[in-house]
Amino acid sequence: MGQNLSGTDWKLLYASVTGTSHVKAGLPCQDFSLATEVETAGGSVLVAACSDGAGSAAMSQEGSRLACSQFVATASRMLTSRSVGDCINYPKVMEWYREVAGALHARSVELRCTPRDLACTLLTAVVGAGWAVLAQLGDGGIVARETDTYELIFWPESGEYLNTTRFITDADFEAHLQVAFRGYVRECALLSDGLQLVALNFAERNAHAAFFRPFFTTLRATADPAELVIDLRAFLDSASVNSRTDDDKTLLLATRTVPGGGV
Amino acid sequence: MTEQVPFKADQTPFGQISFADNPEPRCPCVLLLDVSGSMQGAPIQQLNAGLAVYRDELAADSLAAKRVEVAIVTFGGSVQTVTEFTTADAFTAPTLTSQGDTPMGEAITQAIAMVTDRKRIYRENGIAYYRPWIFMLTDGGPTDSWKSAAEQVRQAENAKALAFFAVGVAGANFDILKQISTREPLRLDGLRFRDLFQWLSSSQQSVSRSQPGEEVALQNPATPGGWAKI
Repeated sequence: MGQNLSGTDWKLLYASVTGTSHVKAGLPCQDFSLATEVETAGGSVLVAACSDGAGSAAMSQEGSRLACSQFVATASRMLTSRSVGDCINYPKVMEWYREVAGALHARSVELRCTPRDLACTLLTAVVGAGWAVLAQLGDGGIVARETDTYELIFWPESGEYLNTTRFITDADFEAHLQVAFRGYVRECALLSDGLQLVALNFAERNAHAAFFRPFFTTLRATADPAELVIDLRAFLDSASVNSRTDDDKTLLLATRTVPGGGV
Repeated sequence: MTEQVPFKADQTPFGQISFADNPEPRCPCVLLLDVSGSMQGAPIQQLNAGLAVYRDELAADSLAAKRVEVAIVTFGGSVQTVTEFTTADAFTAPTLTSQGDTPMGEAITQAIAMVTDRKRIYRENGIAYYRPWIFMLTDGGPTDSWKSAAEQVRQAENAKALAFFAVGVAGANFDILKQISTREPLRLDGLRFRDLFQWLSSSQQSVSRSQPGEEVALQNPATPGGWAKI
């Protein structure tokens, strides 16, 4: 897939890598991620999405791919077809997610399967100049930096137990969609649950800053983020990461092109 | 202690990435074992041998060894916690001896209390966890009052607070086991404790690495050649 990793306002870097348990079981990578920059009347807007297909769902790799591409298409369309200010509210975000859920249901009809067979999480960031809409359904994490702190926006939504979570294909997903609004976000990251144990601090329920900082420092300094994709994939597939998780893992990073990520 | 990951040490495109030092998620299991007088002889010997197999197989799986937590409660004459919750890599299989009657009701109540307490400790320490299991093995029936224990099992199962399994060895009172366990009690084929514990270990290895949304499909032990009969 061709990735346009540097736009006018953002440098983007993202990759999804198959977990060792999926390799062993002959399963595909069920994670997916996608990011783009949309030119709007109100300036350039980052639209990013990350999705983790359920391990128990037969075609969730199809679900996670469609969820991300549909979200980016829907949000881009709405951002360019009306004033950007109209998009920064909870009902609008719900509308985007409903459209994604609708696309997944339609796809399940085409594939003659159930929506549950496409089950996946969906984490998204839509970031403009001075405003950000961050939304999460299911586990994984969204991390954003406005000033100095790498803030974990939501603690991963899951049931009591580690192997239970919410999916956008659930009939009652609307009750579990978490939406947050922030101001001037300089950098943000989306990650799938495969990285939760290494990137989040479970006792304090926040982001482990020392995990994110080196990535952003490097991304800020690089002229061409595309050159880092191989390194990111190598990291995600490294022995040290694989010793902590055997699940698929996704990391998506976005930093403003302004020096210092717009510090 | 925080792990520093030297990423491509000579080129370090991302510098030193530090990993969060989180405890491993836990998969707790109480083995609730009947050691009453009737287990004397071959049954208790085979049970002990089965426990040793269980220990070896869990410890050999590096992820399960850190994630599966085992506790052992026995009932025979009295209820005893033989092993407090311990991760599989630190677990040593006890040698159990048999004696006395079968206070099963009290043992179940104690196992449920231990699981509830364990979950509280996990939550307080930011440890993620899987649904706890109580796995009961008996060759008889309760000699104490068991109705309130059965009610507790039913409520806990309805709340998905735990999963309760009951396995009866020859001589077990299946009428009562069926009233205690919401899952169909299994009948151990002969004294195949070894096969049973191999199954338990491999089931817990699957659960301890299961991902969100994954209902772990346990291998049916009641198939021809399997250790159980329904």
